[in-house]
Amino acid sequence: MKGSLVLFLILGLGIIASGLGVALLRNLFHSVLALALVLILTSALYLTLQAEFVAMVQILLYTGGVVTLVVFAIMLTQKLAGSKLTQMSRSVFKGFVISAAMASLIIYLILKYQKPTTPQAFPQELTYSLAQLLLNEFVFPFEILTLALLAALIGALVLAREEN
Amino acid sequence: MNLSFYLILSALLFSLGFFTVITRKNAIGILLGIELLINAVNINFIAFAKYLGNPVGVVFVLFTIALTVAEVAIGLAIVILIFRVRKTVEADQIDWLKG
Amino acid sequence: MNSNSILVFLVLLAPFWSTLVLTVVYPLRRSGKPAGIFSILCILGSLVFSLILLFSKNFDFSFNFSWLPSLSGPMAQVGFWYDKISGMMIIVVSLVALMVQIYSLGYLSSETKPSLGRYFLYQSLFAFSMLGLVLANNFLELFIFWELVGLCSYLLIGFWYHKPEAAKAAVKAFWVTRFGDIGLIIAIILLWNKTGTFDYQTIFSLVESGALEQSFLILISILIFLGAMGKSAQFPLHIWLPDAMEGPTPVSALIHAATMVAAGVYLVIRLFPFFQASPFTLNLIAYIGSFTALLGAVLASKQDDIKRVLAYSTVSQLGFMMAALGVGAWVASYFHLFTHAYFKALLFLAAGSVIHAVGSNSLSAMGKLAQKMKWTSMGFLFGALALSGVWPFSGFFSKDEILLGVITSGKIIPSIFLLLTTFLSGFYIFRVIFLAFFSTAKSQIHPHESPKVMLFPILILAALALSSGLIQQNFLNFLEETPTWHSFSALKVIVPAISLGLGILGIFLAWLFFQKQKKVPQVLALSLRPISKAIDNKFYLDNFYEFMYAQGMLLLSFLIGWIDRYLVDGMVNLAAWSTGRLGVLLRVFQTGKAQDYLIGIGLGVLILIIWIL
Repeated sequence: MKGSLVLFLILGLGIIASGLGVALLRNLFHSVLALALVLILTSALYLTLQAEFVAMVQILLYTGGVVTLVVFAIMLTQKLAGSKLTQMSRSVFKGFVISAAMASLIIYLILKYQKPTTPQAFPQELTYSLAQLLLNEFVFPFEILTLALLAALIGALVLAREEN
Repeated sequence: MNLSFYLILSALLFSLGFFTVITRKNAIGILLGIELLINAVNINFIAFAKYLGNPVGVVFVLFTIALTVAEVAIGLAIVILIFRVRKTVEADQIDWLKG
Repeated sequence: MNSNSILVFLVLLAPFWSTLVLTVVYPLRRSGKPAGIFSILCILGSLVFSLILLFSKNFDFSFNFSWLPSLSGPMAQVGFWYDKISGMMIIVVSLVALMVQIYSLGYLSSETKPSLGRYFLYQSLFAFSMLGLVLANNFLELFIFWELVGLCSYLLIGFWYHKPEAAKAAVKAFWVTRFGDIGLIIAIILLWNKTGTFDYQTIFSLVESGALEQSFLILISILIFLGAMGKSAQFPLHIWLPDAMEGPTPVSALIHAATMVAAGVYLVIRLFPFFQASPFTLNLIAYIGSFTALLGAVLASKQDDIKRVLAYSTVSQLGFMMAALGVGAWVASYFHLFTHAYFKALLFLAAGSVIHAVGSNSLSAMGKLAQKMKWTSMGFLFGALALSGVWPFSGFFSKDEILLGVITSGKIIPSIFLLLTTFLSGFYIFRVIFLAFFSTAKSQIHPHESPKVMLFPILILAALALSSGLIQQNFLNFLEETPTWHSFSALKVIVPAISLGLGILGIFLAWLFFQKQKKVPQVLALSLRPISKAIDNKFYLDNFYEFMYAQGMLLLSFLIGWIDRYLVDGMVNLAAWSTGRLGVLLRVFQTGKAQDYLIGIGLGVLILIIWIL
């Protein structure tokens, strides 16, 4: 029990620290790298929760897909703008107050109510039951999702296309 | 190990994401903030799924991840479009809606 | 619903069906004569059903359907009340309407086909509305039919709408009667507000139990009487009726002599238990009625237009009926309404036949028509005798009932007015007879007798003008009313004698002046010039109204203009200005930056959560 807590604390602190990096680093490229760190650490956290499949997907899609995409975008806009994209922050104080208030309120709520305290074993091996669920109960949303992805693909193409 | 630890972590990450979305000037930075928000939510889903022993929460995470990818693709396309029109990606200079 | 209720329905349904068919099936309407025959058959149906109802001897029933549903039961009912009063009236209405429609086939034969069809459409609508008005058992329904007959009157006066005078007369009739109707609707609303019902009988029982205070009764009855005044052309709202003669003559006969203008009288008869409860209003009715009677008779004596003579005569006779109502003699009034409907319709139809032959309304274009038009002149003579009250024609009986009632009531001024009117009635109607049918022929044209389709209704009505008075006793028995004045046995002989004498004196003077052509009228006119001129100008009432109307309108529009410019516009401008200022204030929050809005969302969520906690 002790070991898992230590692991959690290390992962949690890492996630928060990288999150702060995403929020505060001046170089946008560094921010993206910090985000990648957050995502990888999160997938590690998923592993501690026995969600191996999701951890894989997280790394493949997020860290592999999203981060690559964002890096592409940064390079593209940098090239178009012709200058290095540094970034400033605005209304930091206001943002801090609201975010802090939000965090403390949510934490207050979390502590206020009763919650399950021990992890349960999944009834079956998780990846197996995911496959069952996705292709039985959730097959319709799953198909809709493919449509949404297709639409997003075409939409992104249309939006980013050079006007002619 | 209490569920609260995960939830508190997720709350902190969520607030950080919100902070990023509000304070970043660069539109791509705002998108990064949104990723943080979604990630925080995903942590919640997985933690609850584990603590309730119900795999449906994990299914939801799969859906969110897929949708997030789509959202990022569209968002970046919009950023590039705005950049092309306004020659900037600074969010506080994009104020067509100013009354 | 028993079989009699169904019959009452059928009485109404027949002309309604005709209206509907003529409206929808436009090839039939545009075919002219077939449309007329269809309409005639339908109104004949109404007459037959009314007669069956009368002879089935089942009176005094009413039935209702719910209408205007609301949470606490239906707000209003649609229903019919068939009793002896409405039972008699629907026979009069459908009979005269039938005669007039048959007559119209001949009178309007030169109209184009579509126009003739339109005419019969209006006639059917009128028959339906008039029958509905008679049978209505509550105020709301009454008002609807009341306005419908007003609409028909407007449409039929303006039937020849391409003639500017006809169009103007139609509008005038509409406006003047509308003025009275305002009183009626205010009365209905006040009554409903007070009692929560429109139903006649419920209100009667409330009046009887004394649940309504006297001042309220006076107010309501005067307002209702205002509506009756407009419809029945009582002074000072009589000015529309003479102008209404611009319509086709059969229309004048039906609407502006026999039925619709009698609706005001009928209304007071129908609501008599209500009026009885306010003696003040009855007094007012007596004075207004008798004054109108005299005024109409005086004005009728100097008209050159044959239809205008009859129009003023109608005003005068309606005044007669009102005066009778004013002294409480509603039976006499109703009896006069009954006989008057026949003989005045007869006079109009005969006059129409003359106009049809001569091609002019003017008395000066007529003369010695009796030789060429035997049947028509006989019809007119019968009507004239009935109007001047010569025994045994119907007018003699009904007029004497009224005179007896008024005289025994002890009201001196109305009695004198009515006696004078009796004298003048004989005078003015025989002036027409001598000028038009005897005297000397002045015109170059060659009159000819009218076709049979026009003579047939004239003859039927002539027979009724001769006979309808003779059933006086049956009529009274039927209504189960024994007039109080019948106990004065001496007066019962003296009054008819006086009235007969006065009538005959009038006839004699007319003979002297217009047949023997003594120069008296001219001399009189010279010596009494101001009065004569005043009569020519209808006592300046029209000018007075015109002036009042124009000035009033000017003043009103000035006032409204001021209100619009400063109050209404001011309010609009204020609204615009304050909206603008508010917008400037709110602009601060509208930065156009998505992130600022996001801050707002975050704050909102926080506040919401804290509030819920």
